[in-house]
Amino acid sequence: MEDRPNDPLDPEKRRAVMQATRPRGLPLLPRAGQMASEARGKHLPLAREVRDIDLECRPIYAVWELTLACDLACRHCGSRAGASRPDELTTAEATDLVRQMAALGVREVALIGGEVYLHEGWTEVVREIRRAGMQSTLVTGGRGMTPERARLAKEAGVQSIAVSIDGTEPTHDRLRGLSGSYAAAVQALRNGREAGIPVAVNTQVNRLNLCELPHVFDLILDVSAHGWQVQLTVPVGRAADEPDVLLQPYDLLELFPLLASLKARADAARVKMLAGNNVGYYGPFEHLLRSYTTEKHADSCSAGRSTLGIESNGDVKGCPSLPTESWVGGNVRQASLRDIWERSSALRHMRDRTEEERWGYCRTCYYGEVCRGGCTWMATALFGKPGNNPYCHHRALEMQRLGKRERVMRVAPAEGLPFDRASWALVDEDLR
Amino acid sequence: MPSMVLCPSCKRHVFPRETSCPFCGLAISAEPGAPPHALTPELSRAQRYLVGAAIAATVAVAGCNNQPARGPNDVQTEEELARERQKAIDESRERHPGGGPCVDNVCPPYGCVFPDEACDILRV
Ligand code: SF4
Ligand code: SF4
Ligand SMILES: [Zn+2]
Repeated sequence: MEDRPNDPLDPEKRRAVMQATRPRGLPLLPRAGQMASEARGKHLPLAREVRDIDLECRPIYAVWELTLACDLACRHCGSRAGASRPDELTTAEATDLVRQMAALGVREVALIGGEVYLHEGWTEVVREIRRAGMQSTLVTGGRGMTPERARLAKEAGVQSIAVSIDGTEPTHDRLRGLSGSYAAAVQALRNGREAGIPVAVNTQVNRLNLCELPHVFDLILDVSAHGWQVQLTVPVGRAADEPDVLLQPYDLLELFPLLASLKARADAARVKMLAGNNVGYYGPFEHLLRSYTTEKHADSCSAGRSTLGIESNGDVKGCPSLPTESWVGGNVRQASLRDIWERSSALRHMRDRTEEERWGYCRTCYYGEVCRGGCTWMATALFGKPGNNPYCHHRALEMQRLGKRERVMRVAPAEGLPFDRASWALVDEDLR
Repeated sequence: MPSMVLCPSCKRHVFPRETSCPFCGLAISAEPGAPPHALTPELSRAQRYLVGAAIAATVAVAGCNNQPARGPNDVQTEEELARERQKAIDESRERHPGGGPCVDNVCPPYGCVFPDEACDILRV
């Protein structure tokens, strides 16, 4: 039994955050019309020419929100899932999109939601993914991943199910906004295994659960999960509504040694632990946390270079998490996936980035030419544009060396739509 | 993209153009083939797999996800590396006859972990 890591929240603050009611009253869900593709801004026209770089970049990994319908309404959900979008792809359109993905070179399709199993054609989509020769994985909150659905997933060809676990039972239930959701998620892991599907765990790290990560790891061992991906909670969607839950950049000084010790335990237990793309970057534990990459360190953002994101109405982005407004390159009802991938300005963005895009601390950072400002999702969620990311271990260490730290402070709330963002100020202050 | 090496003292990544580590000051040899403090880029089984799968399936991706040039502190020769890669490709083919799942340095943005490396140790 190892020591409990330091809690970034003092006991009184923790009690207050645990007991806080949802910050937004009903309705929790955006109105259906606001979630339609057409309502979210006009897509820019596609370029006429395809360049060499557009042909060189192929989407290896596609993350596809099959439906926004969800049986949970998690309080940190970036897509504010719950109701389906009014214009979601039909099963026939979805299976056609699968074939387009395969033709474009996609090799693994991770289906996410909402809840994948609430799309009427989810097993058919999985079958088509496998028929097309791609790998099929699925992410779930687990509330409705019953033995029967797990069996259907296995029959259809799902090769791995990842269940989100966000800490101990009280913390998980608080973050998911539903008591009983932790028990259901754990049962989903067991149901997956009993159906013969390898299971993995995803965890979003924030101030409520940072010190509970060892508990999550114990659960991973208990359910014999093969993998664990950790990500930082990003202030988009509902997560932007609760600033007290989010890590502060200086919390990374506490988080990284903990992740490194858990990585050592994971390696020993042969659990594949992945530090997600927004767990940034280049500190003294980088080579351990990213030992699964060929270079043993983070690369720059892969959105539109090797990652593809699809919204359930067929809107195409370079990464599933990027805000809809500015990062959708087109819709598969209006253009082919190949054309959107190769010729839309939104998908081309990461292929065409220059030094000029980096700003703030990242502009002069030692690692800037390789890192290019880290995760676009995190930077855009905070500042509305990529190229400056305070959630970086190297940066927090450099600040510490100067007797400083950075703090993010919300200055205006989000609108209340999927993947929307609040406005944040970055405060430089003396270390306490 | 320039390759980076790992400072053996402070474990920070450092550009090979440095003569000393900018974080702890340790002198770093720039002599190819004789690095007193260089990280030996010995590929783990997982890394060999990733490299192998990447090469096996995505020659076209190379321009987009450039494998870095060899750094002066790397001690493995190109021939050795080529042999490692070929071995990884062969291993990958054995374990995934239909073409292995390849992450090619791409970490799932969020979502699922594919059981590639784990496939031969799973006890499902
Ligand atoms: S400070 Fe910015 S550019 Fe430097 S490593 Fe961190 S995220 Fe990357
Ligand atoms: S935006 Fe972040 S999560 Fe998305 S591909 Fe880029 S680095 Fe990965
Ligand atoms: Zn050093």
